[in-house]
Amino acid sequence: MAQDPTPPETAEIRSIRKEIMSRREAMDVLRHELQALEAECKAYESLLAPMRRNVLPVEVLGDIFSLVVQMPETTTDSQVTTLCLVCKAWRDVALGTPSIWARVGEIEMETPLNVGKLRNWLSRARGHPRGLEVVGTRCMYEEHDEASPCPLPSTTMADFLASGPALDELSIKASSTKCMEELIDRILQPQSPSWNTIRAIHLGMSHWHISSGPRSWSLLKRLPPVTSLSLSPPSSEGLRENQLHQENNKTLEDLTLANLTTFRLTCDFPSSWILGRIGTGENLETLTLDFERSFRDDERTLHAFHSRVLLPRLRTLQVLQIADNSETQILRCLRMPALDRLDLCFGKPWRGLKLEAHDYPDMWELQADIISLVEGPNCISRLHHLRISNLPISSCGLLEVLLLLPSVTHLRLDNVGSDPIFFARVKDKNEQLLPRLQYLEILNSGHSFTPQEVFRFFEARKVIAAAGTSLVCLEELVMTVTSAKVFKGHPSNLYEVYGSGNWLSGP
Amino acid sequence: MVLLLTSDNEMFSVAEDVIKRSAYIKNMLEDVGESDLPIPLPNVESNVLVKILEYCEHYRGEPLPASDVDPAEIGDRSLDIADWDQKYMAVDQEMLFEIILAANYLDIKSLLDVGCKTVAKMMKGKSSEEIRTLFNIANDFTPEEEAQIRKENAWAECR
Repeated sequence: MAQDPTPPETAEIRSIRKEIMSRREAMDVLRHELQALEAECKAYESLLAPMRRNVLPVEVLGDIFSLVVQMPETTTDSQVTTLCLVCKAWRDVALGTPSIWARVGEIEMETPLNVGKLRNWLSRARGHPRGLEVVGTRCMYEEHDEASPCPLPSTTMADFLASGPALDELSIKASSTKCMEELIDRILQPQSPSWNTIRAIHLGMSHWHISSGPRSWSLLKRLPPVTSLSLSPPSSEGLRENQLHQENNKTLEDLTLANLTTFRLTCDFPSSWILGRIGTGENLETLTLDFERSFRDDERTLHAFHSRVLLPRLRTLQVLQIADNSETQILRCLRMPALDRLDLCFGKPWRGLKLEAHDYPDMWELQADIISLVEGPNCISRLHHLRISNLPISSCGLLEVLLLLPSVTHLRLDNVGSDPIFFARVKDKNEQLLPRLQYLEILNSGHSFTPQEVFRFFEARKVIAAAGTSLVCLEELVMTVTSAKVFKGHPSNLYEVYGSGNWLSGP
Repeated sequence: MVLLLTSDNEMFSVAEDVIKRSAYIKNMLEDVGESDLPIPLPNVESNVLVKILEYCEHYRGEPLPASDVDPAEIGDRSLDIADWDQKYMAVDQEMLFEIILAANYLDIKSLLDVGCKTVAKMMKGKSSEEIRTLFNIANDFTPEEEAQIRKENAWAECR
């Protein structure tokens, strides 16, 4: 019929249409059967899914759970609950993985805490070191609302911290110094076994209470015997006029660092005050000074401070959120013969500014500060790790700073802006510049350093090292131009561009 | 060269420095010494071993991690996965779990770590229901049991 050239009659057309219809119906039936078979197949396949078959050993799944709760996007407790609610097998694995129950972060105490449930939660951590962070958010103003007091310094909370379960790390952030004092007053009962097991504590406060200026602030005397202390007192701007100056010698006078190995101070107090306090840190191994808050320029200058503070065991010094030259002056007053790591992180005032090549500052003050570190008695001679972040500096200034530190083996320059002739200057000083350098990271280099220049430097170092000089060969080079692209150098002369998946050959 | 015999009876001849990334094989070679006999791997199929060897080959020459350092025992581990590792792990779920199992069996800690991180990242930000869908897991809780777990875990009344 299909080959018949004559046009079909009306009756034939009707018949053909009927045939088409019946074929279509048959196809629909087959299609439905196919869909049903596909669904059945999928259902069977799902029975074979690895997670459904519990193919992963419990300890591997537990390890995955530990990684999941570490992810920063969510709170630990909500993530653990999510895992527990997947299925019974996962809940059993979660209950058998102590590490995921060990840290409870940022409990915002707007209402009283259900201590019974918190105890139950932390007890699942068994022997794993436990940590707790509580944040008192109610005391936003200096005066308490008597009708609805802040739940942070409650007897229940104090009992929990005094009697356990024992914590290894504790962070308390209070809006007012009064809240913190009240809480610690209540903890200090004759029997506070758990309080005394805390090894690391962070105390942060936003406002001075009218009744608790720094002079009367004696809570530091009543801290547990910690080896790690992080202290973030309220801004000195919250104090009455000249209170800090008049009571300079008294301010936080109970702050003694003798038992600490790690100390972090986040404050805007004058540098001379900071130096006065850290002088007691003879056992300090790690010191972080965070100048994140605003300050008055004259309080950071230390031209009149002539004594030196010796920190004989200090291995790591971080100075963060440095605003300008006056804040690195603190380096001149420190003697740290064992220093291994120095991290200088400047604020970001220059970011976004388009500097002309000649506008980059030489940072003479910084150079002088570094010179004072490497000269004289108890100078640093074993500094291996140096990180400088967010610093605009001329190529000449940067070269001078680096030439002062020949022991450095690991260097990271992150968001360091300079005029683009740094590597041209390096050419003549390749053997003197950081002769022990093994790992170089240049991150967020923008237009200051080009990958080609850095690779040429990398190659030149290899050639000089191979010639039998005392220069150590660079083992690893990491470079990011923007946050999206990372260049990584390998000894085999191949450079991987992360983010684009391309490989570049050597220069 | 080291001979490896997979569970589906495929024989692989592998350079010793490549396969020594497996602590299991490394220890076996040290215990038994040189031998012409293949090492049987009854828990590893040939298609998985091919993938495992690709990883070992890529990291050939890189220092082996200290045998007493288990990434899982390090406190806060970096969740970053190197670019090459991410591409390597871009496989279907069946293969991903086979790689993890093989890495666990062969005691290749760095590969096991990458595998666990890959699965952890797949779960990132997902609800319990979304995780069930992702991994084809049946919900065997009654609504009452679910409510009980939520209640037990809600230790802060404000949450």
